[in-house]
Amino acid sequence: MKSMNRRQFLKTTATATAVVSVLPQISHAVDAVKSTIYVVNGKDVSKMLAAGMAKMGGWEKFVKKGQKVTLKPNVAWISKPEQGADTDPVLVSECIKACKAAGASEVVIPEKTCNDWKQSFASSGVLDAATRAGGRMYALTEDKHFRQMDIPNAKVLKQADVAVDVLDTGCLVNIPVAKSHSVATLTLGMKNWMGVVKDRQFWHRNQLHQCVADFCTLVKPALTILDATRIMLTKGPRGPGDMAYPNQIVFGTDPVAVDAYAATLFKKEPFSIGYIKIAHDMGLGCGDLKQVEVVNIQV
Amino acid sequence: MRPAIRVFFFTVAVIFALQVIPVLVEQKREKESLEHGSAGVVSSMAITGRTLALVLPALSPFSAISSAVARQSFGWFFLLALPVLVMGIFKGRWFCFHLCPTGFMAELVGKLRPGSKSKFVALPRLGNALAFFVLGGAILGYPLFMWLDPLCMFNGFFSVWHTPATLVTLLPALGLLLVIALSFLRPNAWCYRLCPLGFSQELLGKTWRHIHSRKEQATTTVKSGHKPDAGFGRRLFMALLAGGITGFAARRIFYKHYPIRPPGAIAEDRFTALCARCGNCVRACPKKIILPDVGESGLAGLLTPVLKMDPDYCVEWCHECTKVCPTGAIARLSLADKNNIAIGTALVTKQLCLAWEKGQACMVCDEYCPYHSIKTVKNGEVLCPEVDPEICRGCGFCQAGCPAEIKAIVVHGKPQRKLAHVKLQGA
Repeated sequence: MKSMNRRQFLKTTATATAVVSVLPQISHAVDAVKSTIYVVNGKDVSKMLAAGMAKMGGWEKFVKKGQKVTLKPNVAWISKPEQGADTDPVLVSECIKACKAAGASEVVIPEKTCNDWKQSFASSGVLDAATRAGGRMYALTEDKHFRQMDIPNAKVLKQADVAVDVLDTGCLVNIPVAKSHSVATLTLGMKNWMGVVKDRQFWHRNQLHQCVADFCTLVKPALTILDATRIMLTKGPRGPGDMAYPNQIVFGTDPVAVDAYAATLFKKEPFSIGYIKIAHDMGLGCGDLKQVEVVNIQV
Repeated sequence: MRPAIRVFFFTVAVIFALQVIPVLVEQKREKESLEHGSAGVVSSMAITGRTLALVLPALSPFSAISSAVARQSFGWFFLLALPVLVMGIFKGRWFCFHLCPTGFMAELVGKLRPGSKSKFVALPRLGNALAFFVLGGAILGYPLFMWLDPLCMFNGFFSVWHTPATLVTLLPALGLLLVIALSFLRPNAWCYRLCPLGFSQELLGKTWRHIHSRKEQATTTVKSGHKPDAGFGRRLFMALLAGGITGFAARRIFYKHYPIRPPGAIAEDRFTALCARCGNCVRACPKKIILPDVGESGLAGLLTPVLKMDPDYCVEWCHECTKVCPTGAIARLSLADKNNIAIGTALVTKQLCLAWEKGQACMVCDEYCPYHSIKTVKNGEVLCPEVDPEICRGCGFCQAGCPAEIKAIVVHGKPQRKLAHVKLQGA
């Protein structure tokens, strides 16, 4: 306990020093770049995905030939694609096609929905799109879909039953959708992992934000592709709420940086979102946008 | 000829009661819907699949007339009872001897003990009185004992065989089993002494012949036979009166507490009698939250459908239970109408609530509520839930999702009422 406090103290001091040292320079150039994210602006999702991935170094950099790829979109709710509670089906199907083209042996899409899974999968259009593109999408409904895992670096969520396909995979890609959330303020990339655990009620009983960050010490996606083509500003996570249309897709290998940028789309200070702050402090990524290089691309 | 008709109709009845066609249609539609990415697997008003389930119990003119009188209105399904009604007028008990599946089973079981075939004769003809008792109750809106209808019992027996089967879900099968047991102990006693459907047909036939013979009397001389028993009419009148009094009393005495009924259920003081316990709504619910009641709505409501919002809830994309009721105890509703009816109201117990009591970031109830009926209030810095009873439909998603050790938000029954329309996600 004591050593934890000290570590925390040291980190805070280091961060504070970094912030103070950056402060005097009033410029858009990022000083100490810790992460780079790519923000692709446009209307055509498939072109945006291609442009973003080209900047990231191509799918081949992440997907090795003959490997299994696991995608995790957010398909938790009964919602139409334009209502923005679920990830855009076109984005999912384009990712599957690209993974297949890069040599993936199979693409699996596990999801634990909040609403009835058949209804959610059908109304979101993601199941249809995924199946057409050659992916295998299924609902995490049975015990055999999960494996109990210890999370040694966690503070609260010391143990969790995690989807086997998320653990045993060649390449893990998070494809969340950005939207408001009644209690977590925003649902972005990191919180999307709630959809691969068996008992998410535990998270609500025990410091939700800390659990979200804790889980990210175990599950580390190779890539986060955040869908912000349309965002639900109010009444999330379920909707229907007020919509905004940033027409953006955010790419990054640092999940915290992607979430921090996405928070600004909602005009929120990244560190005002509990789990971004905690994840940043735990060293899971960089949530401080002053240290993140944001590369804008227009398609 | 008669055995052939019996076996044929029995087979048809079993297929209907087991809901073989509905299940097949459902599976096909679900598969198609998933493939084509269209929502609304069970949201259509079309008369397909499950709706067929109401055909068998709706054939009975006994329950059709009783329920129509009790509701003071006719449903379209009343038409289904007309063929048997007409059959009764012209052919008396022809339906019993040729078509009734319960009668067929009773007859078969009775044949196991040929020695005691005529023991039933000593028993009083209760069926007559029963039919009039029910009619008397129906006039005052409470057709008590309508559930003794043999077709409803038959349907109830077959509709319970679906997973998950627990003792409670299997209870409605008891009616038919009792009839069979009775037929074993006293062959023919059910059909000739008790069955209200059998007697209502007999009465229809008799009345018709009575009117007919009177007409003949006027023109020709009296023929022997067809003489109404002395005191017959008086006894039936007494039964009618007794039914009326019981119904009148029952509607006023029993109903202080409201269990959660399926959407579209008629007011509680009539529901317990109008429900024929045919098991259709229990079977139709895709979430299996409709269960036959034991205890919650008292003795009068034994085996009537009640909703248990744990572990699932009354989903906003379904109105299946409203399509399958043969007596109109549950009104037929469109999906939008069903979603605008409050079947109960959720209440937060603050002492159990993770947010109110323990300061956790929870609000799962708000997250889940399809109608956004949870108001967020701040308790210090913590967001806490409160229910807006003017929006809450009592669907129970909050209860199903509540992560507290003991559910902190629970739906309570109340008289159903219509609320203002709320736009739903995905609609």
